[in-house]
Amino acid sequence: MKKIIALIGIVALIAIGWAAWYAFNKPHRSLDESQMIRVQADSLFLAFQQDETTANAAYLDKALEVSGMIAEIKTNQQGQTVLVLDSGDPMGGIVCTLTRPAEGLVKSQQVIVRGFCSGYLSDVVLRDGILVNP
Amino acid sequence: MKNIILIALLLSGFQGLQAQDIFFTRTGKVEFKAGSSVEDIDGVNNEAASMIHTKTGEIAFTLLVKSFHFKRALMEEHFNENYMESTVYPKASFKGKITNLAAVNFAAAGQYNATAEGELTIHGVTKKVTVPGKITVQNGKFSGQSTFKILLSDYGIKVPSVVADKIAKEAEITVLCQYEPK
Repeated sequence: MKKIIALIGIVALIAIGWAAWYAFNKPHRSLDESQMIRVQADSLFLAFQQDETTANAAYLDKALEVSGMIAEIKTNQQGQTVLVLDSGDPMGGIVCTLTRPAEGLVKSQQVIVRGFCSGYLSDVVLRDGILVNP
Repeated sequence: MKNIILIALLLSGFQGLQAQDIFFTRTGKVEFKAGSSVEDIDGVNNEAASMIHTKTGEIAFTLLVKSFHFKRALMEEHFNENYMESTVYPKASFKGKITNLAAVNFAAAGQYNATAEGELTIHGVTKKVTVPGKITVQNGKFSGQSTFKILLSDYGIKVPSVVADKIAKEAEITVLCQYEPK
C-alpha cells in the first residue's frame, strides 16, 4: 500500500513539474487558422476610426486575416518588413510587421496578411504578421 | 480616437507652418527593462508611432502595449494581463516639447543633446516628466534617442510581493526613432 501511495506521489510530482515547466516555457501564440477573423483593410480601419472601444472589443489581441492593397513597404530597426495597407483614408492604414523576410513585394499589390491586432494608433497595428499570398 | 485628436490638434497648431517641418515614424523602437539579478525582463516594441515638429519642438509618441515582445510567452502574458492591464489600457503615450530647441540644428549633420518636457501616460496614469535625449542628424534625416527610468508605483503598476525580488521597482525605457518627412 505504502509503495502505491509513494508511486502516485512521484507521478503527481512529475506531472506538476512538467506542467510548471511547460507553463514557464510555453510557446508564443501561433496564428491558428480556425480562429482567424477575415476582414478587408478598409472596413477594419473604418471600424477603429468610428468607434475604437467597440472595435477593440471585436478585434484587440485577436488573430486577423486582412486583405488589402500595399500602400507602403518599410523596414523596421530590427530589419523586419513592415507593410502599410491602404485604408482608403489618408489619415492612416493597416500596419503589419512581418516575422519572415518578404521579397518581391511592390506598392499597389493586393495581398492577404495575418497577424494579431495590437490596437489602433492612427493606424491599426498588426504584430507577428505573416504573408498569406501572393 | 485620442490619437487622431492629438494629431489634429498638433496640425491645427501648425497652421501657416510648412508641412515639411513635420517628421514622423511608424516603426519607432521602444525597449522596456525591469529585470533584476534573478531574471531578465526585457520587452521590445517596434511599432511605436512618433511625430516631431522641427520648428516648434513639439513631439509626440504613442505605442500599443500589446506590441511588446518578450522572450518568454508567459512573461509577455504577465506583462499584459497582470501589470500593464493592456486590454483596459491599450496605449502608452508621451506628448511634449523639446525645451532646448535652439541647441538642435536639424539642417546640419551632428549629434545634439536635447531635453523633452511633457506628459507621459502609462497604465492610464499621466505624469509630468523631463527626459534627456539625443538627436542625430545625418544625410538630411534624423533620429531621436532617449533613455530614462520610471518608478512603476508612480503609474499604479503593482508588483506582488512574491515576485518583488525578480522585478525592478524602476523600469528603464529606451526609445529610438528614425524620422521621415511627413
